[in-house]
Amino acid sequence: MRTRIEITGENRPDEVVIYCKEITPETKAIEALLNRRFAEPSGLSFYKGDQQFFLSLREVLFFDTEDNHVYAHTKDSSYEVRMRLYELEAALPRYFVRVSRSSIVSILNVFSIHKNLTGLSLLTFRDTHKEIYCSRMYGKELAMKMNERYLYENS
Amino acid sequence: MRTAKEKSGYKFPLFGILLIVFAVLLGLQALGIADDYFYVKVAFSVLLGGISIYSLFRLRFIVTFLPVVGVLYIWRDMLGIQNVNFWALALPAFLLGVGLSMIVHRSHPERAFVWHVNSNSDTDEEIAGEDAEGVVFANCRFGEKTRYIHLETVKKCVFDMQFGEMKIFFDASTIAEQGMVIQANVGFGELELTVPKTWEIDNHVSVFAGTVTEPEVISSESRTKVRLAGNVNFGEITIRYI
Repeated sequence: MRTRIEITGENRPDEVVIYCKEITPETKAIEALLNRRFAEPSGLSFYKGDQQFFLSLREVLFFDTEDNHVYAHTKDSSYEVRMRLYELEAALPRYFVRVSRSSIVSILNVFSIHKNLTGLSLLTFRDTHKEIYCSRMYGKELAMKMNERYLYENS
Repeated sequence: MRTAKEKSGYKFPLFGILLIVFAVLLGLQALGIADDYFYVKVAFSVLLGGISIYSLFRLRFIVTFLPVVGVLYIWRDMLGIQNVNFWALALPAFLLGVGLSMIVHRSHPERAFVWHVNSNSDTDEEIAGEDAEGVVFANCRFGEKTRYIHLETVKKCVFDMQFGEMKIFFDASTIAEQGMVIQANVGFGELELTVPKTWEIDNHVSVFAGTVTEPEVISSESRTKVRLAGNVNFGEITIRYI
């Protein structure tokens, strides 16, 4: 299959169109992959007390659990998400990856990974003081996803 | 404002004295006045013994038993155990320490806690009558951990850190009206506290072979004092302002 990228005007939204003679399992798989990649999970709301916020998932650095509550962390704030972490993991786009039993991180926002002797990795994010650890168990998957991001951004 | 060195609370004189004695003995040995490493052995034994006794009084059993193994190993010739393997002694001592810590700290958590409290601190009495709301507990042993405090009004935080690293972020929390106390017990590890610039850390930590470092903050805003109490043994508490 041939791939082509066209640069459009700034006012037009980004769009992916698949031109094909017929719908095959391959095209369906590509469509599903794109949908998962860009879709925002339905019903995901962010709260501070009784106030509901509407954020883009791109703003979220990571989700973590604290005393049975799940919080979404942005650069300068955090919001409660009224879902379980495993529900979130299933619903989130593929650029979110589990990094420990209690946290899911957005690979789009990871700035650095500092590995230590014990096999854990400390993840930092651009323009924020926030940090989070990635446990040994999830290190390989994170590395794979970061590699994917690198290839995507530099190809 | 006090400097970081002053804020480190390095008050335990025994350790300083032992280091000086050790330096003098090393000097004597270098000058050929002492021979056969006798003074070095004595100095090390005194140092390890001091650590062991100090740790015993704080119910830190691992750090109590391991120095004893060191002393036994140093004097193995005199004790007639020349062929003893250091690790063969260290392992049971370590396990003994872990086992006793688990039993004592589980059956008497309040006792263990009291032993850990800074001698010139009155924080426990201040909080003893309070309810559990507004109190945050976090502990970390043999690992690394980040914890973001989301409690809206925090009265007290209790952090227990042994052999590892823990980063605590207070950026999403506010201090209770009656003030706030951070009780931190750190042994062989690092605790990093990230706090808003509007907070002023009032350091009352008892430090033994460790440091409490805090950057200077120049702020025209009025800052709320937060009392930092507890113990640091062979560890570090770092305060970071955001």
